[in-house]
Amino acid sequence: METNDHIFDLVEKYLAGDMSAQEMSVFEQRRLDETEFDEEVLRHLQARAAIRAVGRKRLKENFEHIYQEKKASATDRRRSRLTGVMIAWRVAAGIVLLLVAGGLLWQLLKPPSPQTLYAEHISFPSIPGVRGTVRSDSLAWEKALRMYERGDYQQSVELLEPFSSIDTFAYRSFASFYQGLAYLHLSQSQEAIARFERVERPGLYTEQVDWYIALAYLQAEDIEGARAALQKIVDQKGHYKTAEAEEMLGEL
Amino acid sequence: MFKPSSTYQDEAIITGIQAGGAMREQWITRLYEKYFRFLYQGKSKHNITEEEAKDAYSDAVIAVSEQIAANKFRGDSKLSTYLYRIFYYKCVDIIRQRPTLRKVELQEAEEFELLEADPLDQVIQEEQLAELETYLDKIGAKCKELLLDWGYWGYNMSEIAERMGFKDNKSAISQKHKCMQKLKTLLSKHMIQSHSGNK
Repeated sequence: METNDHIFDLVEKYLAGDMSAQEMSVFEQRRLDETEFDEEVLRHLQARAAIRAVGRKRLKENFEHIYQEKKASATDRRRSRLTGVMIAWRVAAGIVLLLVAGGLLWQLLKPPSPQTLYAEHISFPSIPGVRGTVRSDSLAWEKALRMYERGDYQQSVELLEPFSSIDTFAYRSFASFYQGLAYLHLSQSQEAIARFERVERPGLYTEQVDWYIALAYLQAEDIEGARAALQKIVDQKGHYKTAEAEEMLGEL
Repeated sequence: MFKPSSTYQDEAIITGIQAGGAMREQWITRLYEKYFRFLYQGKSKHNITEEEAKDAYSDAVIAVSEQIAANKFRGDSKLSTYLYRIFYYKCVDIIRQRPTLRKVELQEAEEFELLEADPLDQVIQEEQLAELETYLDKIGAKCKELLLDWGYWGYNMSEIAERMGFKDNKSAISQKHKCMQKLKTLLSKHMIQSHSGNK
């Protein structure tokens, strides 16, 4: 009697497209000839379809979250600009009426401070794979990531340090990237930059690291550093933050 | 191997998604963010609502990421072009569903040329999906997460063993089979009647 585990492996091979033409032909023929086999295959496929449906739903929920964040951040930016314009008008009217010296006007119309730019553009990604479900508490790695997700950034940077400093650790770049973000949360810009620089280049995080280094310089109010980092983004063809970086360079 | 038309960014996204697990989760998000502007382009180009454009864009990113994960994206065009074309057809589908149908000069077959056929699409009807999803809730949270990690996010069994606190790979694999069996038993009790004609 053929075990369900064997059929399991067979269907997985079929789904992965790893069957040879001959294997495929035998598989299809068995489905036509053997009712029990066919039903087991169908149940397996339906189970896989159910898993995929739930996976897609989760993914759509994640996308919804990103969409809402982007929308909120765009609205905040517009509102903050609008408020700035209104203040400028009021001050201008005040100047005309009271003939106050232009010093005050300069204060209000001067370019946004690095901290303002930072606040307007910063948004933090959540850690993929940490969905607050069943996890082993004993693992320092899992714990470090979970601390980050919970907003305990101090604990998170301490727990991530060994992982971001070991060259051989498979997720070293991943650890360094999130450690950098945690330092940004803690407003420790220099530490953040140091961790971002540990991330392997070129690699999966290159573009994001470029962006967060620029933001770290802004947080540190290092205008020259921020300019250089933003220019580096603009100079790269097709960087995902080119438009924002150009806009920020214009404002700095 | 990537074709010359692919860019470094394409490679990063493709490699990340194909790596599976946490990398896949992160890089699908990255793909969504990278071409987010398409959502607004689609909205104005097709004169659809923002809600509709958002749905179409999410569906397109999911479709593309699944094609990449299954190694079915051949890299004949840039990833952005591929995603935009799929998103375009998703928008067209929305317009087609409207009672006051605007004339859309497109051949439906084109969309199917972009996305390779998937055997899972043939075993289930769209309207049965919600019912199927409830079965996953009935097998317990741990089983559900395990099956999602393995079957959707592509975590390998060592990662799953570590993430879920199993003592080794073997235990994780054994648990995976048990969870699948649980799900299949539930399904067989309520055998979905979409079998005939789908072989």
